[in-house]
Amino acid sequence: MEFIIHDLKNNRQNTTGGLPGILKIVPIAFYLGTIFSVLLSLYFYFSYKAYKSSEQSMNQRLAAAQAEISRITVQEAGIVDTAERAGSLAEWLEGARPIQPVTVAVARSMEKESTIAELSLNRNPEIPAHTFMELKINGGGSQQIETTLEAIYALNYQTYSAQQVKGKNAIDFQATLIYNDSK
Amino acid sequence: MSNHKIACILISAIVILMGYGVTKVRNKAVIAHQASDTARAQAESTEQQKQIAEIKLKSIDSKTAELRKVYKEWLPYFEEFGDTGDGEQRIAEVVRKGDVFLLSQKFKSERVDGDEIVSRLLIAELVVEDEYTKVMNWLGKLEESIPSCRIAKCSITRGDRGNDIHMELRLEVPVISKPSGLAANQ
Repeated sequence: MEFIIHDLKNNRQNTTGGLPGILKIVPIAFYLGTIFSVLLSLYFYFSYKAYKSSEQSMNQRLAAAQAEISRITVQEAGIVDTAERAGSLAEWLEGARPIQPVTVAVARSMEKESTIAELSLNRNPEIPAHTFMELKINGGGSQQIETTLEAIYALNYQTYSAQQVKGKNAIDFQATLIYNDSK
Repeated sequence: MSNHKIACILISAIVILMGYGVTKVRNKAVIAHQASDTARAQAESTEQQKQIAEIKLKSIDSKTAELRKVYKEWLPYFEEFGDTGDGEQRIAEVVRKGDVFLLSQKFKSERVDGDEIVSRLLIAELVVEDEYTKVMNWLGKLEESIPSCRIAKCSITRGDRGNDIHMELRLEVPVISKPSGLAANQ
């Protein structure tokens, strides 16, 4: 066998020279570089995956928080809207306190010698909670007015801008009635 | 150039390419890191905003709770009158039940601008004359039957007969606007 090969393949001179000593570092650097590159690539790849996963998780937190803010905003707008309507309703009610107790109180406060000639209760169109009262009494006098006012005060009303004009056996009284909530 | 040198050049090129590849992967990881940090900062900031919004909501909720409670209690009385016709019917019913002598009645409707809840007013002008106690009781019943009504004007004078009184009333019955979707949900 060696003989045959020997016959087929003669000894040949080197066609190129040997590798310079310094370039022997190239294959070593290649192997080391390959290993190092693979390790680094793996490290960076897994880091990349971890960061992507973290970003996704943060985006989910962000979306959940934004959805919650939207829900809160809608709820808040609903509350504010209801509160505005409630304010308007309360304002109406403030100007819609029953008048009948006042008329009855005034009528019942009349003493024997006094009679109501006219009783008028008009709400202020701008501030309906303020009621302008005009009372004309025949007979009686200042004492009668005091008795009537006491009956009105007992209903938690206060009088403002009260005026009274005494006539001959008659008295005209005017005042603005305002309900006092604090009592 | 010898084959060895060509091989060296090739290997060097491969080493450079591997370095380039690693750098590329590293850059991607760095960008992903920055994106993750940005997303975290945004999420934390938005969660803080959510907490602030929750505190604000609780504050508004507690501040307006009493007012809204009044609203819920009273709204059904206001909702009884979907239009002015309902109000007219109710007033006529109270007059009939009260059995007071009605001298005249006049109804008209007025639009209300700038009010959150009352969109129209039914204005009833009634003139009654009857016995004092009967009229006073009727007035009380009227205000009780229509709690949302407002007596804007009440004038009482002596009636034609002994114990009769003559009463002129201007009654305002609110017709409310439908609440918006937001308020309706509260």
